[in-house]
Amino acid sequence: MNEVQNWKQWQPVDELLEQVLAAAPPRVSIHPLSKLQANLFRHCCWSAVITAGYLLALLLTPYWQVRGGLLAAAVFNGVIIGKGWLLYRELTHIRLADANLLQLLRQFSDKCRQWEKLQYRLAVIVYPLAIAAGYLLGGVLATGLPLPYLLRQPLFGGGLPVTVLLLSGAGFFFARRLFHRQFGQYLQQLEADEKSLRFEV
Amino acid sequence: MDEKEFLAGLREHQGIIYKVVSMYAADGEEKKDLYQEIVLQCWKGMKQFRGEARFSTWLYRIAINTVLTLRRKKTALRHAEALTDAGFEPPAVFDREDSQQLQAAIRLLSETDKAMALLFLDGYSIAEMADMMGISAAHASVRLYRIKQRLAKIIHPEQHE
Repeated sequence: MNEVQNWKQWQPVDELLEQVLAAAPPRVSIHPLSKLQANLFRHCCWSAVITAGYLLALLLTPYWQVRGGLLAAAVFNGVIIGKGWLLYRELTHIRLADANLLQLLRQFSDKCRQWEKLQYRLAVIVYPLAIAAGYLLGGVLATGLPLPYLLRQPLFGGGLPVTVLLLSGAGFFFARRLFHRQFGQYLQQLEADEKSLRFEV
Repeated sequence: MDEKEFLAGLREHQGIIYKVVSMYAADGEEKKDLYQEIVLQCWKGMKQFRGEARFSTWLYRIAINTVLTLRRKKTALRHAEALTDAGFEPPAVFDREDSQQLQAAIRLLSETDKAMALLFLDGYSIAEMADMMGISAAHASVRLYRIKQRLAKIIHPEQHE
């Protein structure tokens, strides 16, 4: 094939590429994995601040129901921060030069899925506990009445599961939406390429 | 390899970056983004390059891995004429119409097949292609055969009716 020979001989030079090389090394990465890494870092920092808030509220409240909810939320949050940090560290070790394409496609889709799971765990486990504790504490602070008395009131007692369900549901919905907005299309592309590469012709 | 040597290597083999990007970028803006990201990834991997593979092979691997793991625009170009819209000049050695047709035909392949076609055109062996893509040599060989058939069908549809 003459075209093949032509292709091999073709050594193009592009002015734009020359400019990029002259300004090397570029500082900002637009790779989705860098975005994921930035998200994880922010997530870990904010979660640590929020957990500290839970612990502070836990020390200040005398009610065991609120303390229990906050303690459980803080423990689960701690576990999720740990997992997030591990994922962040794993991402820093990925080098595009070290792996083959199929490995990278798998690794990247796997990391995105791990981040998705982390978000869902947060929405399913931590949000309900934090919402319940916040509801109880909010009731006490707003009315000035003792918690055992409030819990005996049908409206307040009945409102607890409804509030937890509604707000946790909303939290899960937004977590899902946000993930799909940020990484949904990218994940689809990765998985489609991985499938196409794996497919034995 | 120090920074100077590394940059000289990148300059010497910049054709690889150009060829890969020209097959994937949808427009001039995306072309610039891809250039920057490939150069950045090369920079990140510079310390790991110990000369076990040829510099060109190493660069090809990074260019393909970067382009295929980056979020890209969906608007694929359909015709060779549109290459210039994306800021790509037709190469001087490709004056002949059939060579330009080849470029246009490659752009019609699937994302992963484009990479295989590029490697084949630049003279990489089946074993090297299989290693870069992460598939078996047998799979790469069959795949390449299908890619060539597909390209021939696109370029000479009258012979495949």
